[in-house]
This record gives sequence, C-alpha cells and structure tokens, in this order.
Amino acid sequence: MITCQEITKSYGEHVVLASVNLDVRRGETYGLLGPNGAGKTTTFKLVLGLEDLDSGRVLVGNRDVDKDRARFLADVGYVPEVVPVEPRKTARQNLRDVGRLYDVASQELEDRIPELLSFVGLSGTGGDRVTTFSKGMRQRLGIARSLLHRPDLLLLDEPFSGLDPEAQRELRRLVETLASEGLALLIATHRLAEASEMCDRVGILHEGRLRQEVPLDDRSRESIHANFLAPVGEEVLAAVNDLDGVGAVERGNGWARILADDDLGVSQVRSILQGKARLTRYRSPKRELEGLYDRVTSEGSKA
Amino acid sequence: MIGPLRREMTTMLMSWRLPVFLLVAGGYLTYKLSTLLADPTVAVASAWTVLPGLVEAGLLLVLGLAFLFSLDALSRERDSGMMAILRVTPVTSHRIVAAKLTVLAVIYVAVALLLVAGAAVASFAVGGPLLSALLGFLGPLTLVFSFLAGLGLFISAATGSARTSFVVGALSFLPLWLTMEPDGPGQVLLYHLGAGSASAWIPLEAAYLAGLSPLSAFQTRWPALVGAGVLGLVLAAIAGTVIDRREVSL
Repeated sequence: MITCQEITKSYGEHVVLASVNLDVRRGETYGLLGPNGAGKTTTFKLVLGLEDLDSGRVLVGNRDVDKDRARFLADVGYVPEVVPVEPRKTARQNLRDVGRLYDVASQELEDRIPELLSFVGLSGTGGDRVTTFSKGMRQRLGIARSLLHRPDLLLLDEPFSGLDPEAQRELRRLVETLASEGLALLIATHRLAEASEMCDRVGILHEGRLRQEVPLDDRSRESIHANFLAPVGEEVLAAVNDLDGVGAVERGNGWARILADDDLGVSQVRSILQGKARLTRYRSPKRELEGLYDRVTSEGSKA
Repeated sequence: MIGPLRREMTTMLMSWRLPVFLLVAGGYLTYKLSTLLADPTVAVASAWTVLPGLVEAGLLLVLGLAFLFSLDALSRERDSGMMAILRVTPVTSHRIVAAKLTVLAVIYVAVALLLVAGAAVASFAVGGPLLSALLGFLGPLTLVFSFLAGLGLFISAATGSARTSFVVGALSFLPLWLTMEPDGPGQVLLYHLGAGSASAWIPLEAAYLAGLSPLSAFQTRWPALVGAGVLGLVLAAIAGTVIDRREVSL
C-alpha cells in the first residue's frame, strides 16, 4: 500500500534519514519505533509531502508524493499526536469543515459524519463543542476526521501519548478494526508495549536508519535471538531451520532470530548453537521487542 | 475553492471578533456622525463639513478590519496546529490564502455598506452630495483594503506566531499611519529627510486625499492606489508560497 524506496533527507550536513526502505501492506499495522530524534517525524513529513525528499520515492498505490501530491494526499489520513481542533465548533462542524477540504460531497458527508462518530464512540457528543472534550475524545475525533475521505493509508503519530488506560484500550480496538477493514496503518511510537500488542510488524529506526524490522505476527511462538560470537556458515542456520520444532529463521548481520514452536524446539536450537552464539529467549513479543530495541539502539549509538 | 471558503465563513461567523468589531466600528461611526451633526459651528450644515470626519472614520474601519483579521489569519492556524491538518489535505496553500482573502473581502463589503448607510443618513440630514462623494471614495478604499489585507496575510504567513504577527504588523503599519495626513508628523519627517516626493505613493494618504477630493483641489492619485491594490494581491500570493516553504510542526 505504501512504499518508501531509499528515502533520504538531510538538513545541511546532518543526515536525518539515510536510505530508508519501508513497505506497509493493506490490512497491516506497522509500528515505526525509535527514540526521540530517530527520524520518525521526518519520515512522516516526507510521507505526507510536507518536506522534499533528497532522494528516493514515496508511493501510495501507484501515486508518487513528489509527482501528484494532491491526489496522493486524497488517499492518506493523518492523526497527529496532539489533535488540533476548532474548539468553538462542535465535533460535527469540525468534521464537516475537514470533509469539505477533501471535496467530500455534501450528502455523503452528512451520511458519513454520524457513521464515523458512532465508529469512534462519539455519537452522543457530536453536537457538543469540542472545547469540552477530553484528550481521549479529541484523539477519537481526530481518527474520525482522518477517515472522512476513506483513505487507504492512515498515519498515527504517538497515538497513545497522554491517554488514560481506558482510552488506550478504546484506541487499540479502533486500530484493530481499521486494520481488519483493510486499511494500512503506519504508527510512529516509542511505546514498545502498545506496539507489540497492536502491530503486525515493527521497524526500529535509529539515527536515521531503519536498523531492523521485526514481524510480530507469530505472537504465540517462542523466539530466540542469537548473537553470533564468530561468523557462522549458512549450513549451521540451515540445520536450525530444518528442525521440526522451528518455524522460521531470520538472519541479520551477526545475529539471527529463530521462532520455535515449543520448549523442545528451543532446546534443539540450543544444542546446535551452543558455543557459537549468545542466545536470548523471549517468551512474549513485548519482551522480545524490548530486548531487540535496547540492543539495536545501543549498537547504533556505539557505531 | 468552495471547501476552504465555507470553512472560513463558518469560522468567522462563530468568532467573537466579528460582532465585537462591527459593534465598535458601528459605535464609532455613529458617534462621529452625531458629534458632527450636533456641532453648532456646522449650523449651515453641508456635506463638505461632514465628509472629512466620515472619511477618517471610514479609513479607521478599514484599517481595523485589515489589521485585526488578516494579521493572525494564518499564524493562528499554525499556533493551534490546524495548519498541519490543512497542509495534509489536497487543498493547496494558495487556495487557503484565497479563501481567507475572500472572507476578508466579504466583511469589507459589510463594513462598506455600513459606511454607505451612515452617509445616506447624514445626506438626508444635511443635504448635499455626501452619499455620491462617499460612493466615489469606495473605489480608493477598496484598493487600500486589498493592500492591507495582502500585507497582513503576508506578515501572518512569514512570522512564527500570532503574537509576532501583531507586533510586526503594528511596526509595519506605524509609518503608513503616521504618513496618512498631508501635514502629519510622518509627512513632515519625510520632507526633512528629503523624501517628500515619496509621499505621492503612500496608499493611506492617497485614500485619505481621495476621500477629500470632492471638497478640495486634490487629485485622486490613482497610480498609487492601483499600485497598492495590486501589491496587496501579490503579497497574498507570496503568502501562499511562504506557507508551502515553511516547515510544519507535526
């Protein structure tokens, strides 16, 4: 759905993004993880065409942001971290205003507004001035606003920031529903717990580079991370891959990630890689992600 | 164009500023007219004695209008974060600026009608060609409005916040204001600086003199007025480009 090909951006001498490749498919929730200054916001700006690319391409479907920005944006929705609203207007008026900017036909807009207010759980407050809304309600209004023009891709910037647990649960439910309806979702966040629970895949961005992508779709499996003590041949990993209890092996530079079905699989992997690698076992996606994140961001800093 | 325009219209209609402005402006105009008409020295009342006060009031209305509404029209959007939302829609920055300029023009027409209504009342009371003189003044006034609205939008686009817009706006407006009257302090200073001939191109002075032309030998300085009007439109167009080039905070 969205493809970023080798996107690069510098401000003067400072390289903010270096040859980042990103691909989010229809129905997929992709988490862009990284500490402050990693390049998440710049990625969003480039995807939204708010900044010019130094090199590379950003495509939604077959539309290129550089070549036809207006039509490109017609397929994209955006929910900022702090959702700006026009406080003197009602929720319905806020939606109507933005719908008109997307040239949504009047009748369609009038049909779509109550539908979306209901979807985000704000049906009862559509006529209320937004100044009375809590942060969670504004966030949900922001999601409704971003969906008015039926985008194919939705960008959410730090969507959980400042939300209470109930609002976070509600937001998670909305995101899951949207993904199940076929939207591609790109979420920038530094909250690993939410990302691991909600995303199908995450990319760890650090110092302008996409250091690692982690699929989180095998959430029921055990995962083992192997940091090799010395270079190992392909035959070693092939042997691991052939084990009955092993589902998948992903290899990186000096490391591998192995998904095992059960304890037996884990012990078989251990027996092969003993002495060749430092092994770390993760029993939940959240723990796995935390470990990976720490490793990637600390390695990046050393480099 | 329709989408951004409708948004601007509803925003303006819901703003407290429009009724407050019209109330203050209408009140000032009424005060000005009533004091002029009640002045015993204007016993032999005629349009010629009422007109200068009305011209001054009219200019003040337009100044206030352009000053208040255009200066923060764009910077307020940036302060509230709405600029990011506007910029990620398919609407171009130039369409956003055009919508804001159009709404300002609609309000200007409302203010102009207020002026004409006042003049019609005064004409009826004092007689003379007051109404026709004022209608002739509306052309120059419209050009000055275009200049001020364009200048305000440009400042609003170029500055970082609404507060800065107002400060920069006030600072850039001061010389125009001081040089408005032919014998005012700004004109005297210009004369002493050897730049007296520049006053021929000062738009507010040109508009002021255009308002007084029915009762004086002043010729309306159309080149200065048309130049100012066109400059306003150019500045508004540049404002759109400035928005495109400015970094948007996400």
